[in-house]
Amino acid sequence: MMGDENKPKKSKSELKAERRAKQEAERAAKAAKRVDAGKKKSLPSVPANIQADNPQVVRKVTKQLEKQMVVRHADEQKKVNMVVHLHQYDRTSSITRSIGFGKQAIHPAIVQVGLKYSQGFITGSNARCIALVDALCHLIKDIKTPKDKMFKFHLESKLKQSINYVEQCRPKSISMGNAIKFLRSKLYNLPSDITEDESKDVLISALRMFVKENIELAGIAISKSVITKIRSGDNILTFGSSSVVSRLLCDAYNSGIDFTVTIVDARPKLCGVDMLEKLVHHGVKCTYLHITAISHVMPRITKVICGAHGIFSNGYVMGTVGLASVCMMANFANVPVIICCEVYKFSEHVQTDSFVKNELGDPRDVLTPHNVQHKKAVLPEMWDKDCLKALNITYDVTPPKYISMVVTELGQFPSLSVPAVLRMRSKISAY
Amino acid sequence: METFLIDLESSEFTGFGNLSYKVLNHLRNVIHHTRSSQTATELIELVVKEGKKILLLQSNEHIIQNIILRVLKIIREECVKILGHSEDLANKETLHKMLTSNDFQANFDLPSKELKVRVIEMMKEYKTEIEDSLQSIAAQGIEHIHADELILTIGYTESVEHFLTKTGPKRNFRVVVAEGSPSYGGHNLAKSLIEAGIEATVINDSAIFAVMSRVNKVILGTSAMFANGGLKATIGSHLVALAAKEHSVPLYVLASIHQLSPEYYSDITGKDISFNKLSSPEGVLGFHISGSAKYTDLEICNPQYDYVPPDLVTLFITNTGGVAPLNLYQLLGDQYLHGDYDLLKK
Repeated sequence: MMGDENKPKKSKSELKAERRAKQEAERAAKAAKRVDAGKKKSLPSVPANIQADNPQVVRKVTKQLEKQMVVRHADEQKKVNMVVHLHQYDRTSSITRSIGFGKQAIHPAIVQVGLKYSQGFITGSNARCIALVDALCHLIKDIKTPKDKMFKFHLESKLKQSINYVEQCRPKSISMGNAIKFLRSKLYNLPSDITEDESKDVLISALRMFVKENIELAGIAISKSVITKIRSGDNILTFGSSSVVSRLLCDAYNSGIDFTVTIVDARPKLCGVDMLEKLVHHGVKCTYLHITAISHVMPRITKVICGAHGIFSNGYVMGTVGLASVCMMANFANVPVIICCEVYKFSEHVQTDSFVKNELGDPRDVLTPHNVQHKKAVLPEMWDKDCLKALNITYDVTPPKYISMVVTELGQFPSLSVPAVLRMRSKISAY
Repeated sequence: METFLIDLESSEFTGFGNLSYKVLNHLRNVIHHTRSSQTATELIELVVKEGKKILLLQSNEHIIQNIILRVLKIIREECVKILGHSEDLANKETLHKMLTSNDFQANFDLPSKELKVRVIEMMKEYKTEIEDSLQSIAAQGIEHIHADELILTIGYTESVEHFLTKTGPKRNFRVVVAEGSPSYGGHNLAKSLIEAGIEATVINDSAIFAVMSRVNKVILGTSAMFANGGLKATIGSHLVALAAKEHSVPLYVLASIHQLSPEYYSDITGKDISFNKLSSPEGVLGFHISGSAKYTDLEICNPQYDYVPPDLVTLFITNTGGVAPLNLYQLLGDQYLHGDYDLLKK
């Protein structure tokens, strides 16, 4: 009673203000909590192409692809235990049968390049990247943005659709992945005040410059760099087929150095035959053999020069399956191993074995010998038996201890210096 | 008799033991057609003469030399037995002999009617031993393979096929078979394994290093074993053995005693080309590609064998049991006499 008179009388408006302030404070606290919770949830997402054994993920991906009118390439059912988590495309199923012709359809240049990949007409890391860039330039040129959308977003959605389709034809290579990242970052950084035609020109010229700098000019730089290492009387061993290595060997021959080349080839692709043709056509003296005979020739080899599919951040080199065996043999015989790889093929990922992430080819390719006219193939007719399995991995991973040197257009360094190069590169360009 | 020599010159011997049986039969016929009373020296001379004839035609197959040396040892042992002593005395090189220093000199010039008969009998026994060796090796399978194991092998060898198919029903394991191009023997092995109900995964030779990290054991067959523990095995075996060493995977080699050769090969640089047999390049690069004019300077390698040095082998499994590579020399003394090695070389 006495206390009530001593309290200062607050007006109604002041009380309202107090209540409002309290509510605001509570709302702010809740919002902050939500942001914190949101931050915790945004972990890096695991790519779906290494979760083929998780039916939920597969269903989600199928739905996403359906929205973009891309058919998911079904998996061949018989997989070896340790690679059940990877996709193994069924060669007999078609993904282009249901491609329509409407506005939402995939651009024909993209359809063509995807089919060429899946049928094996375009092989090799550089060739695939160049073909993809070519197809993307066609796509960008022909795209027509509807009036209610922005060019950026429309192109981004078309790009997503095209890349998903290409992925269903044949999984992307590291080189293709980096080219797409480059295009996306250029698209993101496009100034918003230029017209659509000007944007298209900017993107197309950026892509052409990407190919010129990172593939053609880099190839020439690598060739100049490695030629200084080749001496007269050398016997050089190379594995499979690489555009960089064939260029540098032809350049070395042109500059008058007297050397011989031993080409080691491996099943199932037997790419070494193409390499052999290129070199013999140029006039280089060659020896040809299969990987099983490699210990027979290794004593007379002076150096090993190979190309790579890509190099990981922990120094492990991803190359055609068999490269690891060749490097191991060379290491045992104390022969130096030189890997020639352009910088755009460096990847920020890390990998130490060949099974966590790989591309699975058709297992039936393993079962048919290449010289079928001599020996009758005994295994294909037994394919439906449960006991028979075949493993056809396309790439394998070589540990850095077998590799003496990596040669790129930025210089020569050991395999473990890859993250340093990536960091330096990201400071220089918009990568 | 002459037909055998013609056969030897022209044909290829496939199948385990076929060449051994033919050589043994031939020698047996030769001995059979001599007079009934023979001295040991005469028999030895006869066998050495025939042996040199055979080796002139087919010097690449080490088994021929092994068989001839074994027969020479049989002759000497039988002679010593007839004279009434224990057969150990025929072998001058045992440690026991050196310690007891018994100056026993067998008289090899005594003619005896029994010698020929007993020698032929012992040769028959030797032949049975070779025939049974596959079974004896396969019977040891259960001791060396544990449950749920992943075994790697390359190419096709009968000893490996028997070993795995006989152990298959008793133990649950899986096999990875490397095909072994360009002869693709691995496909035939995979076929036998599947017919026996064992799960077989076929891989290309290029994937050997990648798969090796997941493999528990490597089992190889071989064409010949050398006295230092080295192997003359199918092409690609050195690649497998090195990959196994790098990943610390044990390497077991299945071989029967008659494949043990008294030679030593330490030249792994491959310059000693007489060791290997180079086959037609057709298997590697078909004529439809290599036959065109621009490829006249091209060299195509198609060797049949690989040398595997002894430090890469963990254990030999022979028909007499398991042997470490460094202990093979003990078995040499049981099979052959040291003094005979030079007789065939002259």
